[in-house]
Amino acid sequence: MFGEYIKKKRLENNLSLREFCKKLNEDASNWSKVERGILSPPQDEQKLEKIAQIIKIKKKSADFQKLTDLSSIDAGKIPEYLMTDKKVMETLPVFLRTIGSVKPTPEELEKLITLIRKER
Amino acid sequence: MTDYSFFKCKYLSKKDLRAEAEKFREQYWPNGVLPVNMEEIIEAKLDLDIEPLHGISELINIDAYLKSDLSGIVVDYKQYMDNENRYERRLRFSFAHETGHYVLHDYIFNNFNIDNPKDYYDFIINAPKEDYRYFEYQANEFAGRLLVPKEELIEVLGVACDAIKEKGDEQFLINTDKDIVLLGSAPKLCRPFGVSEEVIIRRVREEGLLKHIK
Repeated sequence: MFGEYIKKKRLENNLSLREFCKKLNEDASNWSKVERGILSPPQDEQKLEKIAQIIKIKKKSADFQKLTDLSSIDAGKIPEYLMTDKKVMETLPVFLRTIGSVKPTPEELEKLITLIRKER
Repeated sequence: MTDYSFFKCKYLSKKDLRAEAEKFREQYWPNGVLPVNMEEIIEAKLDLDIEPLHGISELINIDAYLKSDLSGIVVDYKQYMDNENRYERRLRFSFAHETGHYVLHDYIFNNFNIDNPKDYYDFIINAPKEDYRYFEYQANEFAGRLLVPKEELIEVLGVACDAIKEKGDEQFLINTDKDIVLLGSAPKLCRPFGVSEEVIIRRVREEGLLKHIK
């Protein structure tokens, strides 16, 4: 999801994989794997901001939120801002209890977050 | 290991290959801007991945290969990421060549499971030599015709000949073997197309364009 999203945005900005990786100072072999969902996306905030800057996404925009959300989701984490939202956190255990000890898939997490957003 | 001895490459005439390349260019590079941007075609239009991989050039002496699941083209990392773009022309042709396999040879890739350098190496070693040579020839011809459109090549040849005349060397054009003029002009001829001199020389000969050197 993160990889597909970044590739789409990168191509919308007419950036080849090579150009993008040079700007990001990233190994293109690894980055290609990130875009194909083989490697986890970066979690480091500075790196995510740098990526956003390269593909012309403003820091406080909905697209930036999506970028950071997808990065967290693909890493199997709940996005940080949701973790600190008390109201949201109150709803999470219900979901997690329902699915028992099985780790939610990225798709399930994304659905959950969409649902949570609608509730807020 | 997969048995590659059953590998068989279908016959395609030069006319067929040209038609395939023209049709492809019209569909995926309709603006006709030169040089053709193969990376853009591959990533944005064919929706294939470009997968740089360290060491394939050193390991098996190839620049790039098309994955047999047809999901992407693996390319030598060092060449792809070279800071001085020394491999730009070579890679453009390699990408066009692999695109040729993608367009012409999906029936082959669908039957084999080539998705790492070792598989590719085994395929090269074990496929029947003649069919393999023909398979590569078809991809090369497709690439050449895709990157060097005939009409534009005729135009560029005309410009090169005019430049020679303007320098007062008309007698050189008339009296010198056309092949020699071609060899001398190749460095200029290849520039608009972003390909090597070898590719341009081959295109002029294959398209029967020596007669335009006048």
